[in-house]
Amino acid sequence: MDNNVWQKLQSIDPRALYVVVLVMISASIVLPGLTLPIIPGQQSKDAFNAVVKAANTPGSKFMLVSGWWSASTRGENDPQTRAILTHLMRLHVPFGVLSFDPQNPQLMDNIETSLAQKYGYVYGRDYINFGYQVAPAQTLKGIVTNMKGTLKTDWHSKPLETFPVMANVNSIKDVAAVIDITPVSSLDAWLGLVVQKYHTPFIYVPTAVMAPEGYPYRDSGQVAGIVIGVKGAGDYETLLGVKMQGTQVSTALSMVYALIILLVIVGNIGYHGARRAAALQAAGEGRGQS
Amino acid sequence: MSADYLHHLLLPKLLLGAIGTIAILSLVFRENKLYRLFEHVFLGLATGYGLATTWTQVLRPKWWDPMVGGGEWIWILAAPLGLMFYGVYTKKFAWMARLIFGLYFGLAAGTVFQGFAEEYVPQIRASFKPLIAHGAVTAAMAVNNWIFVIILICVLVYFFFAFEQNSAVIKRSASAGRVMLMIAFGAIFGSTIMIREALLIDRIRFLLIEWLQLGHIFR
Repeated sequence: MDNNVWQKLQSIDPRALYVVVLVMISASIVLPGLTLPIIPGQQSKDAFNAVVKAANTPGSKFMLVSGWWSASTRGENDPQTRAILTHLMRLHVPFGVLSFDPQNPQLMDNIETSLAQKYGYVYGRDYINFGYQVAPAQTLKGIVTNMKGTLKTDWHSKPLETFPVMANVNSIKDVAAVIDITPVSSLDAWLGLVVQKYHTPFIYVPTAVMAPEGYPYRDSGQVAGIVIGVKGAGDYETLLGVKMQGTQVSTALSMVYALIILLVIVGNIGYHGARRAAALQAAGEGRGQS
Repeated sequence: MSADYLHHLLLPKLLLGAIGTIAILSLVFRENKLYRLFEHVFLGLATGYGLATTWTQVLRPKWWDPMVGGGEWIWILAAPLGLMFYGVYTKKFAWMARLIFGLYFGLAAGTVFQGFAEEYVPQIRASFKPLIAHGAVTAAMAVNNWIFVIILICVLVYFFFAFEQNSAVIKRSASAGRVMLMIAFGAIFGSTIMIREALLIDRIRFLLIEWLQLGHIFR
């Protein structure tokens, strides 16, 4: 084949590739029939089962959901949060949301409110939003022994004592599980300062890029399960038997991944083809000279 | 096009979000003035938002309200302590900044020290795995554990810098450790691509579903 063809395969105009990516993503988002099967991974199954187990353990069923995410990682953390909160509401588990980013309380509130209507959850009775906490390490140390004294008020500056959902929640001992939805390195704080104390089940829900940080902790049993990025959200929705944002985005993601793999193969074929053509040309010129 | 749909398209929060998204994404095709404009708009918004939330979510509920509304005037001491951080900007008062930074580092170090043992000791314990299939340990688990232990040793050997790696065994183990690390980094890079794609998909989803509502048309 002509050497130019191999060169072209290695240097496709990126803008043409962006258009292809755009078309693939748009099609998978807009066309309802275009969904790829999702096979939940073991990490997601572990997380799902850990939530079910914590909800069925005798004693307090109150769960803490911690949110470190802002609008910048909405693409991954929003579907994860929706899937997790849907599960908690289906299990009729009371929960509190603890935010460590100033944008997070509002983003969490949007999701809580939309799901609460569907599952009959009432603010203050079934769930609560503690709002943004300034110093994560100090807050986490405080809630181990004195949750109400540390957090004091909800997001709207109303004392925690006034909410029925907080009636029997005084310390981390009264928390059935901690679910950490995060795009940052927050494992150290939760594992080091809170959950090891009473071996509270800890479910890690990171963005994909942060997930490898959690693998050693999963292996040692410190993390009960990991919901990895938007793929994890899709897995979780499959386990719940619903199709929401996570499923939709997972399909688009799989298609883009397939395209990337295809382009890597095409680029390599071009590279090796060009090398071979250059070697043949050099050999031909060598023979001509001799 | 119905009046309702047009009204939806022109809702300021959606319209501005859509124009902003398109403007920022336009960079991948070519550097342009619209992108530059929205880059500056974004920086200005982020700074303004940061300042506003510092007051509405930090200073007012955690400091001002308890002090002025709740009568907890002890919180007034936080103001001079906080202002000490700004001493770093002048030579004359730099000592104040060093003082408060020192205090802050001490507090942080103490907190981290407590967490360190709680966090890493279980991991060290978990790395001692049974290598022989017996009782609850199945043959498959034993094979997994062997793989784990071999990789763990190889990677640890790679990080032995206290002596020269002359022995062939040490050299090969270190080399294998490096290969394992490269594989791990490759997997991590795959995860990085995953989040970038997910964020792009989210913005396209915003444009097509939340703004243009194309989902309803095709369903």
